[in-house]
Order: sequence, then structure tokens, then C-alpha cells
Amino acid sequence: MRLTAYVLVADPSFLGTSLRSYYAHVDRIVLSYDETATSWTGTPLPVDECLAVIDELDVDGKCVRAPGRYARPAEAPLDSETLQRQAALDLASEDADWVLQLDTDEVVLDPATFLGAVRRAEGAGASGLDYPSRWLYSRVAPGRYLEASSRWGRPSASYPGPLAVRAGTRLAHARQADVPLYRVDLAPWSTDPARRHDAIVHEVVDPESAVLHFSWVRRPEAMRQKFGWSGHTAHYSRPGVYESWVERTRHPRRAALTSPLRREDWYRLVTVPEPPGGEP
Amino acid sequence: MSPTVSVVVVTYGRPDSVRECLEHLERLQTPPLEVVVVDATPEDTTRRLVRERFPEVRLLHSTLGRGTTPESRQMGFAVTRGDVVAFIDDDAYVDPDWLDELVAPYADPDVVAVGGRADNGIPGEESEGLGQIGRLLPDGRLTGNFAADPGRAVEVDHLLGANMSFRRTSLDAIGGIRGGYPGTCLCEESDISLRLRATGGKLVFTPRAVVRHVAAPYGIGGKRFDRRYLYYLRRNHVVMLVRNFGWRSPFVRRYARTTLHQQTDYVHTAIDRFRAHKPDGTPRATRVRVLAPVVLTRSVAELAGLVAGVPAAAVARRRDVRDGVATPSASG
Repeated sequence: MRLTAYVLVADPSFLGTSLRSYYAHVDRIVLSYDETATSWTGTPLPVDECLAVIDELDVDGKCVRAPGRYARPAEAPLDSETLQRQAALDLASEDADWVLQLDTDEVVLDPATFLGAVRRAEGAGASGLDYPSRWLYSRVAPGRYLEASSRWGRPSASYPGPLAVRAGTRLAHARQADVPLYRVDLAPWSTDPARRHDAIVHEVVDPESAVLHFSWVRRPEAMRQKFGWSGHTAHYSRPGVYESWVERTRHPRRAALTSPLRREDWYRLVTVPEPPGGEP
Repeated sequence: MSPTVSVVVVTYGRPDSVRECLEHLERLQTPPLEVVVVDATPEDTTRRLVRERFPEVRLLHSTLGRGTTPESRQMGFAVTRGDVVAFIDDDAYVDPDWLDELVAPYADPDVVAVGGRADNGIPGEESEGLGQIGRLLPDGRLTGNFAADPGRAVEVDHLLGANMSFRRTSLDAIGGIRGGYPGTCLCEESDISLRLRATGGKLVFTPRAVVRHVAAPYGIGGKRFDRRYLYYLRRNHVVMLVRNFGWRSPFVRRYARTTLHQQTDYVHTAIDRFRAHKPDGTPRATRVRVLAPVVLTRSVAELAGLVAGVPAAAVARRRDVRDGVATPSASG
């Protein structure tokens, strides 16, 4: 199976760790970025810093630069994200069977299991692989993180979209595509809060084999930047979102213990060996 | 060289369906090596029809009666000579190129079984459940979706009894087809598939080998989706899982848990029907409200089937060991 990948180059946090986690298993990685180093919402992006990180790790010359004009402040950020992803996916689809679409803060912990799931998805006739991400909210101490969970502290998978799709797939919204999915989860019954409990699970993996998503594991100044350039900027910019993050990072045990009392935003306190994590 | 194919049709009390089924087999572009009909009906209407209208068809009479589909399949299999043995339901009418498409995947020596698509005539069914065709899920459930057309052959865990075939040597190696799936005979075909899978063989679903599946009424009385169906659905499923994976398999306890969880749907339905008003605000008929608890009898049927599956599985496993057809991996 010919595997390629694309990434949106914008955020240096965990970029090197993320790419290294699957670099050896793909033939090519398309690097998509705005040629003016501007985000979808019009804020500046540290693209040069990111490209320098990638140049250092690209020992086999697999990374292919694909600059474009994606800063469209007048448009909805998620529409611009979809546009940029589709352009990158189309390039990555050339001479490929499947394309990985991981964000640069997502780390494949167990490439053998992950790539095995891609092969089984292909065999089952699916066109997309829904693979569980563990969504990390905050690093509260070396090796200690607040992780999104069920209300009662059980592992909960997050699916921002299929992490691998068949080459030539049309994206519908950001990473999501209306294609038959092969669903991998952390339990035989769906742990995805966005789906019914009895949603079909094709395959189960341990949390240690999931993708680790260092989503909000940032320094405070990086978080404020991320809130500005993210496709979810409208959601993140609501009053209290940043303040809650700061407060929960300072008092992680309280954040975990009070989770059952909240309607949403449930976390558990977990130990994650470092690397791949570490000081953001 | 293309493998030779024997086609086995098992039937109970549906002579009209058998006639049309055999007429379609006569129209195949490539004729099979032989066609075998196994009739379990006490009355001889079907057998008379086959003798008179299709004299070239080999006819067998099973005296086991209704609810013995796997036993009839085994009777048919035992007399066939083809490299590949295909089974189709008596209400499954093959396309002219069905046989050619069905045998094509056997070019891969790892393939031990090939199933085809069932066209049920339901709009949109060809795109329903793509990526979820013939799977055994980690929670113990099976997916069907055998009407889906993924556009290419895909690997599956089990096949649809109405349109499936097996490499003779592989089926011989596991001791043929085992019975013990009474009632509506649910799961008997999945049992064959899972046993073959346990040997490491590859099972393939090819959407190009099409039968038109008209789903004739059951000869055993009651509608297809009555409570009897639900009872045997759960009972036979437990039996199938235990026979193939053993008592200690996570599939068995997960399936029990899944079944229990699914019963909450009936409770919610009963509560909804008991409410004085519908979601749109219009009043609900008194008759509907009074009869609301009736839906819970479906839950009773399912739970009874789940419980009945336990002793039935114990008996079936003892019999499998005695007959030398136990699934090797089901040691727990």
C-alpha cells in the first residue's frame, strides 16, 4: 500500500515529534502553508520556524513544500481550512493509495497498530479511518496531563475527522469526509461523546496505541496565539474559555474531581510518558 | 483453469420460489457442474415439480422437517463434486454472470469462501453500510449490509446464506456444515464462515455476484420479524459465539452486555407511546397508549433467547466435540 501524508504548517508546538512518529512509514509528506505566513483569520503564523524544524528532520527528502494563498479573513475559518486541506490532500493523493491527515500536534504512539488499521480499513472497503485520539487539555507537571474523558473518568476517544483517507477523497468540512469509515475505538462500545453508545466499532485498541493529541498543551502565550489563528477561533474566543484553561491547569486535581458535577468539559488526570510529550 | 461449481439450493415449502430459482440457474452464462435441491418439506409438491420440470437437477429429500437449513446444506454438500460449492436460497434468483463473478476471487489460493450481493429491491440499499459489510464486531454483534455495493471485492468475517460459496477442500477440512441452529436458522451461515476464518482462511464479498433476493415468506408461520425471530436471533447468536470462541471469549460476555443495553430502546419506545401527546403536540390515540407496554414483549422474547442460548450452547459444544467438528480456537 502506497502511503503519503499532508500537514498544514503553522504551529511549531510538537511539530517535529508528530512528523517523526510516522515519517518512516510514508513515501511523501506534502507541506501546505500560506505563502504570506498569514492564518485563515489574518493573524501572523511562524511558518519559517516550522519549516526549519521540518528541514532538520527530513533526512530522506520526503517533504514537499506546497505554498499557497489561504489567508481569507473575510471567510469562515473552517471553510478556509477545508479549502487548504483539500488542496494538500489532492497533491498528496498523487501516486498514493491512502493519505494520512494528522495535525502537527498529533503523535502516532503505535505506528504498527495505526498502519495495520489503515490496511484493515482498505480490506473492509472503507474509504476513511476513524482512529481514536486522546485529547490532552493541559500539561500540569512533567508527565502529568489533564485528558478529556467520560463524565466518570473513563477513557474517551476524540475524532476530529478520519486520520487517514483513501487517495482522491473529497473533504466535506475540515478533515471530515462523507465516506464509509472504518472505526477504531478504545472500547467495544463507542466512547465518542458525539456518537451513540451502540455506534459500530470495527476494532479496539488500547489507549497506549491511540494517537496523542496535544491539542491545548501549550504555554499561555502560545494558547492565546492558537485561539487567534485556529479554525475554531469563534468558539475559543468565548468569555471564560481561556480563563478556565488557566484555572484548571493550576488546579488539575480539582478539575478532575469536579468533572462529574459539570454538564460538559470532563477531564481525568493521567500520566503520559515523556517523550513524546514534554515542555510545550 | 476455472474451478468447477456445484450449486446447492435448500428449501422448505416454497415450490414457486424453487421453480423460479432453478429457471434462473438455467440461464447462467456458464452452467455449473451440477445443481442439487434439498427439500425438507413433508409434502412432495416441490419434489414433484423438480422431478418433472428440472430432471437434470439432483433431488434430495430431508426428513428432518422445518428449521433444519444447516442440516439440509450438509446433506447437499455431501453429494456434490465441484471444486467450489455454492449455496443460494430458494428465493434468491441469480444474475446470468453470477457464477463467473463468484468464482473469480478463488484465483487467490488464500480465499476459502466467496459471497455475493443480495439485491433486495430496496432503494438506496447499495450505499447502505459500505465499510461495514459482513463484520464480526468487538461487541459480539454481526453486521450484514450484503446489499451494499462497495465497487470492489472486500474482505469479510462472515457471508450471507442466500448467496455464498466455499472451496470444497476448506469445507471438508473443518468437517462440513454443523447443525443446531433451529427456528429461523439464524447464524447457521455465519457459523460456517467463522469456523473457516478460524483456520486462517480469507473470506471475500464480491458485489458483482448478484442474486435478486425476494425474501419469500417463511414456511414456519409468523412474519419475518415477529417475536419468534427475535428469540432465535439471540439464542442462535449466543450458540454461534460460544461454539466458535468458547465460554471465556470476550465476545460472549460483550454480546450479553450489548443485548441488555439494547433493551433500553424498547423501554424508551414504550414510554414514548404512553405519553398523552406526540412530539409535534398532537394528542395520541388512547388505543396506542393502552397498548404501549406490548412492545416490551419483544424485549421479553430477546432476553428469553439470550438465556436459552446458554444451555443450547453447552449442548452444541458437547455435540461438536463428539462429532469432531469443534472449532479449534473455542477451547475456553
